Amino acid sequence: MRLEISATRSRLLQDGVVALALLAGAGFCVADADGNRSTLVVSLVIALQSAVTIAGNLYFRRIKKHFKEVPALSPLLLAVMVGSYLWEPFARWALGSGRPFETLVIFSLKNVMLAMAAAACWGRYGVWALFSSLFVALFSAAATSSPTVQTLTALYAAGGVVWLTIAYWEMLRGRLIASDRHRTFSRHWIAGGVLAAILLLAAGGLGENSVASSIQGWLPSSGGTGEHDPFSRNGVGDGEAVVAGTENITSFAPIDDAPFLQDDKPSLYDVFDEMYEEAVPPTNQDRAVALPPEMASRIKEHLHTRTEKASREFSTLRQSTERGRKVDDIHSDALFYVAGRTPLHLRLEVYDVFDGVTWYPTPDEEYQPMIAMTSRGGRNWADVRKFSEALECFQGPESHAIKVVNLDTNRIPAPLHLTGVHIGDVNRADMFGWAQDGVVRMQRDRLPTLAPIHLSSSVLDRTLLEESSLSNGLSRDTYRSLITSDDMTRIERLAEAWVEGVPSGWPQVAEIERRLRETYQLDPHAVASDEETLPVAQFLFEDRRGPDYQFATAAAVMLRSLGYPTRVVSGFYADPQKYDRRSRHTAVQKDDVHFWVEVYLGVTTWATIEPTPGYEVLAPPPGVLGRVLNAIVALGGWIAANAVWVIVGTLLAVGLYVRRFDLLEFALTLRWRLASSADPRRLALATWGLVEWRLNTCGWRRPDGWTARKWLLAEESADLPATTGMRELAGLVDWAAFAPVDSPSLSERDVVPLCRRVVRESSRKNLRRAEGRPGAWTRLVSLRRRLPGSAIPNPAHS
Amino acid sequence: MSMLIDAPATDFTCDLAAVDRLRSHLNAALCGKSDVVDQVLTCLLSRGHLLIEDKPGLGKTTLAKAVATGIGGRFARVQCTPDLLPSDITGFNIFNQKTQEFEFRPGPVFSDVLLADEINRATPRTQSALLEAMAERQVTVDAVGHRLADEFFVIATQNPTEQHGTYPLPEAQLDRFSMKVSIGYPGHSAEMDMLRAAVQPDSDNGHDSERLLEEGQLKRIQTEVSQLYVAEPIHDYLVRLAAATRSHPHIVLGLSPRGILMWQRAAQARAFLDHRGYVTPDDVHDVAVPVLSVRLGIDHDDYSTTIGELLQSVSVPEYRLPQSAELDEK
Repeated sequence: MRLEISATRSRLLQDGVVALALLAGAGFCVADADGNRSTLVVSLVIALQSAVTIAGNLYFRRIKKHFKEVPALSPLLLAVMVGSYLWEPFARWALGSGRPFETLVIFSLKNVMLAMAAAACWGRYGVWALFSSLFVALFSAAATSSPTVQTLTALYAAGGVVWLTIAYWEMLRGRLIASDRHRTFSRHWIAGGVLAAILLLAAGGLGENSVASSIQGWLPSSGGTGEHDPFSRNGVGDGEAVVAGTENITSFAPIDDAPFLQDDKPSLYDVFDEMYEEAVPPTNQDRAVALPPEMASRIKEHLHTRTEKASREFSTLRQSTERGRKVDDIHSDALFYVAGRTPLHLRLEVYDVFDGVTWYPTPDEEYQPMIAMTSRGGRNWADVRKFSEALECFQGPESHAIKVVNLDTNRIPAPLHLTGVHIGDVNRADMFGWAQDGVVRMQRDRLPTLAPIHLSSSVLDRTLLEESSLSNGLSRDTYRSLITSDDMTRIERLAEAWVEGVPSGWPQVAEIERRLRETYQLDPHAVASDEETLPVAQFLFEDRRGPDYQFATAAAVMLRSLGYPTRVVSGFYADPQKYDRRSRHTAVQKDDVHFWVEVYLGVTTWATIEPTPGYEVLAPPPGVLGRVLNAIVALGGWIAANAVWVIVGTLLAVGLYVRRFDLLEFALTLRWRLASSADPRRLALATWGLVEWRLNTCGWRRPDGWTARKWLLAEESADLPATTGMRELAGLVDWAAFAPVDSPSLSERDVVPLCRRVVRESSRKNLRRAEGRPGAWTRLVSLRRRLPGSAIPNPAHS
Repeated sequence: MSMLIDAPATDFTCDLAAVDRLRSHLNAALCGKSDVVDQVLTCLLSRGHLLIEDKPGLGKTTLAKAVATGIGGRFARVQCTPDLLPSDITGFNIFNQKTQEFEFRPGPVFSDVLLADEINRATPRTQSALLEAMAERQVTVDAVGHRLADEFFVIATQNPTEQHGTYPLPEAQLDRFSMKVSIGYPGHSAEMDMLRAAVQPDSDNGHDSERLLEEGQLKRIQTEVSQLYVAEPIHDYLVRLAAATRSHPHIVLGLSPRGILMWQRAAQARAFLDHRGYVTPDDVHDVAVPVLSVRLGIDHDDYSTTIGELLQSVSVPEYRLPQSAELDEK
């Protein structure tokens, strides 16, 4: 068996077997812990098993000489295997921890593998250790998705490739004739590549950081990565094939025993009150008079028939109340979770009529278009498209999933351009219905908790809107109605002033949005102080700061005054800051309740306007270039954030790299001094090793087929600064290596002074000086290259 | 350096002195060719035979005669021609009228040093008779074996330029020679010395009368050489070199096991000439060209380049403590 021969012969390959086995063993330990043990414990276990294996390896190597044949180690291996099984009952009884059966089997295999790796100096055991390490590494990789195991597996794979390459070349060695030409890579490039790989690993591969998440999703896998990819296979939460969260615990969001089963689930309005202080009845009742009569009657009707759960009006007049706790004081549980790209505006309530203080909700639609069920990828999707893609400014599809934990409503929080809803096994269209324009509700008291509700939607690309003009024709006047009052006139004038010179249509809308975002400040707890003026006017002209509903109101009023059909929407804002990178979802909490504005684009299509600073509208997914840019930006940010360390580290690394030989020389010379033995043979050989290393690092390399004496004496190596001492040493080395052991020994008196002298006169400094060669810095800068194909060292004299 | 390593394993100081005397004797006979002399001595001490490939008049006969007188043996010379018969070399039986018996008349092979001039002019039949005598150190005439002298040493010559009417030695036959050397023209000063020496009145072979080695001493030296210490890494190195000759693209015929044995023996002789009790990789290198050029089928004439390439392609043994020394310390 060729492999066996190679593994037996080369010490390098034996070390490689041990290293690979240790990697596989470490990977298994991490997979075995499965996150249930602390990093410290796992590291200790890994360190212990590595130490035992290496010690065993050294021991076997030492005793190898006494064996002519390969010793039978099977009793030892059997003992290791049985011991691994016997450990289990002990661990369960004494430590209270155990392993499932399949892990136990692999645990035992791993221990046997490490024992065989320790005995790798006999090729047979080395080869079997290698085979079993491959199996253990594959098991670990399959058993867990921990990034540590993935890294270890990648290292194992790389190490395996290197091992096989070396084994191949070792096999060929002695059978091949060296060709005249040697292709050599510059060592600087190799070192640079290694450094870059380490940096990339540090920045992107390891840990949960922004660089890693910015490049996520390039190649969505089949297993629960949360990314959408039509080519991925049936997995959890992927592609078209989704599994209800109740069926598979790994989908996302809280697990069964999370503390969410409370009876007092807040409705949207409880959240409003908690977030925005309580609404107070306005004293100034005149404002309703200003409304057109049909709208005033609608308000009256609304107030009579309002229900407790949904479709309640929203007053912008709020009063600070002394309450014990505020939203941001308490740690609030998430209301629901969102999987998918954020930021996301999830709509729950749509308002159209505004009486100056209070927003009245759009009535539920009387005409309820049929919701059809369609089957996509074997799943039932309710087709709830309410907009037209005739505008050709949409991208998508975008998929999200929400899982309600703690929200009392039967409306489905969903993005504006919703196209489909899918809930587990729900296959009947009459389970769904329309609440308000574009808001889908379920025909039941509340949304099912913990069942993932999958939403598919399109994303509006706002950059494509720049050219398109907005259509003003619209069915309902309520989206343009405004009361008439002095305050309103002021606002109208302000709006006209802002858009002066801006072409009408989308640019004007964007301008209003921009002005509000840039010149007003968000203050979630600000309330109107002056009862005489409208709260929105106070916000615009006096306070210039306020909560998000004032921004929304201001934007809506201004847009309406310019003639754009506008409505205010409330719901929740899935904040990217709250994205949990481990579970890959965004928690939506009470303080994420939010107001924003939608403006009519025409052809039954609306667009989200976000006038509140600090909130963003979901942009279309970035392309490959965009992702690369995101990654670069994230990396740049990381470097900027750690600039001092990066600069210090880089300088240190470059300095160490440039001076590496000097440092190594110091260490090796020190080792030579400490290890100088009285035995003249050892001393001579150690001295020659040091001298040859120094010559190598100064650019003189002994050709493969040359002996030391030939090298030092040959005419071809005339530029070698060989001293008489070195030449004498070469003869001495011949004696040390090849003379019979019982030959008359040379006395220490002769050898020691010679070795000392040679070590002294062959220091790298002296060698370089002898040749007038440039220093390390100059050489690095000039990046000189050696001529290829010269067997004889040919150091350039620059 | 030499004072440090002049530590041969056994006490053969007088043998070393004798070899040094022999070396200076040969150097005196052949001016300015000390490396050739060393090669000839290496071949002699390793109990091999020598093939000299060179032009006429370069001192082949002088050298052979000097060797013969130096070791105190009989010298014989055969001028090979196409009509030379095997019995002209080995000897033959003639009927003695007095005793009424056949008696054996020994041929020139029954000498200590035989110079076979222009061996490639003899017919293959005659060549093979000579080569058998070289390999077996005995000749068989009429089913009776006759042993040759223990020191029997053949110096064969061939002329590389004239190829007309020759029978080139096949590779299998060449393998029986230990080495092939070429003397080459002497340098300027050596030729001046030679000319000066020729007009001296007492120059007439004054040096070839004395005997430099005692009776049986050459045999003893040859035995000592064959027992000279060769370390394990050197064996390994030789085997790797041999393997390399068998896979080299320019070598048609690789090194035979007999060849590798001769190489080792030659390296031992080389170490002995250097007054060393052990073989180093340098010894292996030094004898590589003469040993290999006689027996490798190299498909072009540039032997030394190919052999140099070969030596460069195989890494020399690492300089590390002998394993037996490690064991001793335990």
